[in-house]
Amino acid sequence: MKSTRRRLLSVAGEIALVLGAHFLLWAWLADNDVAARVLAAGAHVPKTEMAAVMVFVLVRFFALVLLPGVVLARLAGLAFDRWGPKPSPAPPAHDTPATP
Amino acid sequence: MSKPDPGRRPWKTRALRCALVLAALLTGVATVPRWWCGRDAGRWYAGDAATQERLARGIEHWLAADLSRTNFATGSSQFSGEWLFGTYLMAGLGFGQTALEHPEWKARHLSLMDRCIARILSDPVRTFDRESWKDDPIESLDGDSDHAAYLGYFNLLLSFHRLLQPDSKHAALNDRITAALARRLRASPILLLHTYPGEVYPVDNCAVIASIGLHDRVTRGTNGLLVAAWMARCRTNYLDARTGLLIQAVDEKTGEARDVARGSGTTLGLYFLSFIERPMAEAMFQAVKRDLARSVAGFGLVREYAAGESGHGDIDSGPVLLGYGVSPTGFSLAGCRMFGDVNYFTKLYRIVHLFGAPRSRGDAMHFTTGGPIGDSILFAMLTARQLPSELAP
Repeated sequence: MKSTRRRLLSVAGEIALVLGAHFLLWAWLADNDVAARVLAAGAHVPKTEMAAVMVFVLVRFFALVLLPGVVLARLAGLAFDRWGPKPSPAPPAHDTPATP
Repeated sequence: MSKPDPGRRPWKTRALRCALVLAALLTGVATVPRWWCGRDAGRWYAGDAATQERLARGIEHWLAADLSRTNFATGSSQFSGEWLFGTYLMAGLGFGQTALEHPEWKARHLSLMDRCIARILSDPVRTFDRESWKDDPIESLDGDSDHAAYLGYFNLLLSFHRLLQPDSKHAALNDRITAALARRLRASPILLLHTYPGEVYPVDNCAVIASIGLHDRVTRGTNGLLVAAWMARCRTNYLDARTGLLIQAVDEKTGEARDVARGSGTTLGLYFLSFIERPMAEAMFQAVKRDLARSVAGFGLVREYAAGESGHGDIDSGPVLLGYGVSPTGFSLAGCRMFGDVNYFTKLYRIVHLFGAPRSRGDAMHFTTGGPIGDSILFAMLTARQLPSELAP
């Protein structure tokens, strides 16, 4: 089992990754006004721009709506593993008789 | 009999762990997002000066940007032209509303309304309507081409400007457009004007009648009977009998429904009507709340179609996902603020924050996924308010 410290670092890394992607996309869309096209429904919207906006919307949805729950769940699991009931220890290995 | 698995927890302990993790996941999803996304809602609802001012400065940025149809790239020159026009129209209404809310801003915001009016009057903005009608909306005021969208919406802004500044420099133009619209309405057997040749939309006519009614109030004019007749006709013919929602499109000759009642038309129409006919606007808002408004985990969403109806997104509704429309959801903010529904306003603001992605830069803010038209619409909707008692209908 990974150490608590490594698991905490892993959670922090995931948060940084999602938020980093979110802010990078956000800045790119804002600086290029790409996202303005999202309000136009239908076939006349350029597909690449629509895709970029959709990716941003999905990443933002994950970052703002799902990430808090995911992080809490990971922390709850981690706390349980550290302070909850421990698994039963494995029995000691049998001594093998020495061969003459 | 199975032996305990060494190094592994008993199933009860594992189930307890799963329950704890699931509870934490649900708690996080149910509490943090609604708090984070709604933390500015109270300030918007209360008309907080700093919050409104940031968006006003963002709109000023668009006013200074010398926009054209190419900034919208909707793929349709007519739609891009409508969006350019709508950007200045909604911006102007927002500046007027914030001038009412914060009298200390009146001089500056009236001058910004002037800039919006000048932009709407400019040739590049008028082009989309001229291309559809084959004549110019202003130069043909003595003619019979209706130009309901351009003239109705524009005249509402002119009448509102005049309400705020009775000696408005646009008074003569406001009088001419009002006279033309009233004359054309009286000549229409269905009491509706064409938006474009062959196309009649009640929502655009809500702006037409609101502009006439507001002009009447400011000038103590003589169109009161026309306004009353229009309201009566709208109640009986253009509000869906089952839902109370506004029918989206009607036949140009008979006035029969050509499309079902929809959320985008109703929510925008009630905003326009609130300038002159508060009870009817409020009844439409209650119909929206009853038939279209939903809430998921504290986030408000408004359906484009009532139960039993369905359809796709278009330029009016914006994208429709799982039945929920971008436009009706955004437009409903105005109804909530005007009719005192702080609870649903907060829910709607959360979804606007989530998908609009408001971003401040310096003293200005923008909604990232909105662009000029989204910023302007949200400016008008988030600052919509009842007219003060001395100006109220």
